[in-house]
Amino acid sequence: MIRILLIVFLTLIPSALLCAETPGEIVIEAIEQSLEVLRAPSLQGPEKTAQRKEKIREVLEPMFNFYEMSKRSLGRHWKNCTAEEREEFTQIFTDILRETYLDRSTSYSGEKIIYIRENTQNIRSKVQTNIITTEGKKISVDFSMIKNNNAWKIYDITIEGVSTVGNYRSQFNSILNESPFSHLIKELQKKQKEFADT
Amino acid sequence: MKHYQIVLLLLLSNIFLIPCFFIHTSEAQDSTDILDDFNDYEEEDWEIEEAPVIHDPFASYNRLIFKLNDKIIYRILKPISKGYDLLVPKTVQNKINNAFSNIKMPIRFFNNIFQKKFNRASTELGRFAINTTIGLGGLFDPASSTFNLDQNTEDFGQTLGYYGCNTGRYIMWPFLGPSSGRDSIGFIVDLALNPLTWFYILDVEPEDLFTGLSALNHTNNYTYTARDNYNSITEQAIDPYIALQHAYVQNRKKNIEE
Repeated sequence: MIRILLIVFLTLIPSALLCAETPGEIVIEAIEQSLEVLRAPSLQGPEKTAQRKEKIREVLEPMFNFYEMSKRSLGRHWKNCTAEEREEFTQIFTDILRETYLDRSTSYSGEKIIYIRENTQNIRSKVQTNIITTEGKKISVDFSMIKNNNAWKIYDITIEGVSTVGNYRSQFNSILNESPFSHLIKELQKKQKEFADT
Repeated sequence: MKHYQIVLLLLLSNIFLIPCFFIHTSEAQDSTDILDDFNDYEEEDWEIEEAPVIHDPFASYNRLIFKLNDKIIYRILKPISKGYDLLVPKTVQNKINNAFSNIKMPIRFFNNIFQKKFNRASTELGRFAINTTIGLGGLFDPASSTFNLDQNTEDFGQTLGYYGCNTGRYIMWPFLGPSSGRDSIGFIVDLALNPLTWFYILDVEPEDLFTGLSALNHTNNYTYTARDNYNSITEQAIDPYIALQHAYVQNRKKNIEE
C-alpha cells in the first residue's frame, strides 16, 4: 500500500512541477529547443533550410501571442479601428512578424541563452536574458510575456533596449499621423509580398 | 592641407560607423512622454507604452541623408564586407575587434571617471593591463573570460546624458549615420580621447600604417557588428527611417541608464 502511494506520489511530482513552470522557464525551454534544432547534425546545410524552418516554426509559433503584438503595435490607433480593420491588420502583421522571426532564428546557430531574472506581476512578466552568439558577443534580450488561458506567451522582445513592438509602434504612428489606415495596410501588404518573394 | 586631410580621413574612415551604435553608444531622455489613452484595453494593469516623441525638426533633410547612406551601404560597404568575410574568418574578426576595442580603452576609462563610476574605471585599467599582456596586445580577452572583468562601454554622449543633457535634435549625418545634438558633441570629444586619432595627428610613421589600421578597424567593425544590426533593424521595417531612429534613441537611452 505504501509502495503504491509512493509510486503515485512520485509520478505526480513531475507534473506538479510542470504546472508550476515560471514564464522564464517556459521561454528558456522554447529557445533552447529551437537552438537544438539549429544545431542538429541531421538538419545542417542550405538544402535543409526549409526543413529547419518548419521545425523552428513548430517550436516557436505557439510561443507568441500575435494578437497582443498587433494590438500593442497600433497603440492608441487600435481604438479607432473597426473590427474588420483590426482583423485585417492582425492577419497581415502576424504574417510579417512570423517571417522576420523565423528568418532571423534560422540564420543563428551554436548560440547560448543565459537566464538573468524575471519579474512577474499578475498576468504579465518580463524575462531578462542574455544571448551569447557563436562569436562570443553578448546581446541583452528581454521577453515580455502575458498569461492568457493559463498559457504564458510572448508579446514583445526587447533587444539591447529596443522593443520590437515599440519599434513598429513608432513606425505605424508616424504613418498614421499623415495617412489613413488603408495606406498603412497597403504598406504592410507590400512588405508581406517582399517576404513572400524572397 | 594637413587639417583638411584629417577631417576628410575621419569622415571617410568613419563611413563604416554608420549603424554601429550598438557597440559604443547610449541615451536620450528628452522624449516627452505622451501617455496614450489606453481605455480601450480590457486589462487594468496595462503597461503604459507610448511611442516616444523624438525631436526631429530636420526630418526631410534627415530622410534624404538616410537614403544616401543606405545607398552607400548597399553599393559600397556590402560588397566590401562580403569580400572581407571570405578572407577573414569570424573568429579572427572577433580578435581584431577585441584589439581595437582594447586600444580605445581611454574613451571608456575617462568617461567612467567623468560619470564618477570609479570602480568601472579601475576595471577598465585592469582589463587593459591584462589583455595587453596576457591577451597578446588585446587580441584575446582573458580579463573577461578568466578574471570575470567585463567591459563597461561608456562614451561622452553618455556622460552628457548622465549629467542631464537632453538628446537634442535627431540628426542623420552623411556617412556617420544616426546621431543627435548631444551625441554629435560626444562623438567629437571621444575622437580626442581615441589614441588612433593621436597616432594620426602626431604623425606616427609610417602614415600608411595608420591609414591601413583605420580602414581595417572600420571594415572589421562593419562586418563584425554593424552590418547585422543595421540589417535586422531596416529589413523588417515598414518605414526603415523611423525604425532606425527609434532603435537609435531607445538603445542610447538604455546605455545611459546603465
